[in-house]
Amino acid sequence: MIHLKQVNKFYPNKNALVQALRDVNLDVAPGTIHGIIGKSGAGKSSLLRCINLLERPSSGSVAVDGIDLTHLKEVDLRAARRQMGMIFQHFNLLNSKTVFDNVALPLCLSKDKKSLAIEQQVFTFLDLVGLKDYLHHYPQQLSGGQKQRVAIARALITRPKVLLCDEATSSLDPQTTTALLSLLKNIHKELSITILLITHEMDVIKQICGRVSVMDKGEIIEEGEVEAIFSNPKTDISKDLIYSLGTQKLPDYLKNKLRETAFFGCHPILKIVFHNDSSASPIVSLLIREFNLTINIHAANIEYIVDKPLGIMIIEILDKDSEMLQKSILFLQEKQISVEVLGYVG
Amino acid sequence: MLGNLMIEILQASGETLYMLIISGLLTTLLGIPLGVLLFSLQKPELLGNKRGHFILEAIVNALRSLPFVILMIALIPVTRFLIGTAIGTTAAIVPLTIGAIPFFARIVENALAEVHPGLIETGLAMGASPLQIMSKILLPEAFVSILRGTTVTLIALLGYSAMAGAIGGGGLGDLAIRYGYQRFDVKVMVITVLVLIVLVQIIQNLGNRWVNQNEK
Repeated sequence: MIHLKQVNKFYPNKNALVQALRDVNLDVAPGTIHGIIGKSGAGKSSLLRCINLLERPSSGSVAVDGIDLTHLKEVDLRAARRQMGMIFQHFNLLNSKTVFDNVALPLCLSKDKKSLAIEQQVFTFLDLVGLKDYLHHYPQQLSGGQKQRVAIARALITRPKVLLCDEATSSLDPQTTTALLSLLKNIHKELSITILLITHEMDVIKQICGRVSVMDKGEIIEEGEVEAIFSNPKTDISKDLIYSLGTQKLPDYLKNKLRETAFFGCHPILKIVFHNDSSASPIVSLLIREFNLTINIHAANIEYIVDKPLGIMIIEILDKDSEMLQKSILFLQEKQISVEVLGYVG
Repeated sequence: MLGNLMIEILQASGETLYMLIISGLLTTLLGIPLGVLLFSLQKPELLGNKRGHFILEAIVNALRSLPFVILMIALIPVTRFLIGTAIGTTAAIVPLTIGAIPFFARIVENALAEVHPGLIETGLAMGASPLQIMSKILLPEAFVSILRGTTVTLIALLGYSAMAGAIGGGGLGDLAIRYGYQRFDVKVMVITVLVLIVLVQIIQNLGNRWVNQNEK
């Protein structure tokens, strides 16, 4: 649905050029929810704006629904933009207009307007976001979550194929964020719309995205299924972003004692990552029973990513029998559970 | 004697109101497009024309840098061309309008600039043309702020119109100069001042009421 090829973006800044995007390639399949995550200044906002050409890329091509946007005339570009809805961090509603007029606005912009049809469509979409009782309210009478719902209705009313979300939940509290994300999930199911969202919160990705791209310094440095990135982040940035969830971080007391190489009388520290079905099996019990190991659990957590469990555990093996240790690692790997020796402690 | 004076004061007030209303209408009518143009020319998303903006800026600044008394005199040929005479209440409307338009245009420009910049982006993302962004998004959002500016402009015009009296424009300014200044008639001076104060209060109150009705 969305294809970016070799997209570069430079901004003039005083006398130097700043590169905001560096050879970005992105493919978003129709009907998926794709997330782009990165810290602030990573270029995700520029990337999103290159898709509907609010920012024109310095080089490279942008195609949405098979149409190369960079070569369109101004009039055709406007028509193409009507096929893409967009919502913003600060909602960007018109304070001078009622909820009804805000939602109706995109329809009033196109030439073929029929007032009756407009009214009906506004009702339909306000109902979809659960705000049909707020027709005559003004934005200032609404909460942040409600404002974003109005913005969603406004973005969807032209029945676009793509919805672009620019940090749509970043100014909302965690509960409202969750509610809004589940609304987006429902809309995605109901309208089979393609959603591309950018965020700096792994939590958002975890809750609704199928695929995720990790951005840093204008580049996409890692991309894949959300589960895969979560269970095995390859780059430091993704690790950082995932660890910021507060799950797999090594406890400080352990980190200080940890040595990279084995020494006499040491205990290995293992990180065990299990997902899907394997998280249902009693791993620790099995290790203790089958291999007669003495295990100390230092940290453990199970996250639910797009409703699938992902467990991460940091354990210390208190036995000195290295043969048994090797056997148990093999045993876990056979069960599709990833094991990593983080180091050794005395 | 007192009856005569009352008639003169009423007549002068009428002339002042006439100047105020006509020049006020013309100023709003012409100042809004000029303000819109000033704002649009400097926004790359709208008209984005650096050269055009530079030229218009220069004209607006030039007009605003002249004190009204000087502008009035400098515009005498223009007034004569447009109205046929440079003396009288109708003739005073020309410099009043030309003096107030750049002032009001700046107010409109500022009101537009105060609208959340994200709304231009939002309009673009919806597929709106620059004209639609202006007419359907920016102007409605800036409306209340422009209303406030209209009140300020009308009161400034009232001040200018009194100055117009100095060169034969009629109105309360003319009255104050003839009786208060040239004949040292304190009574007329006091009455003129009172009428002006009442007029300003009325304009401000009407303006406030209008703003309150439209504020969301």
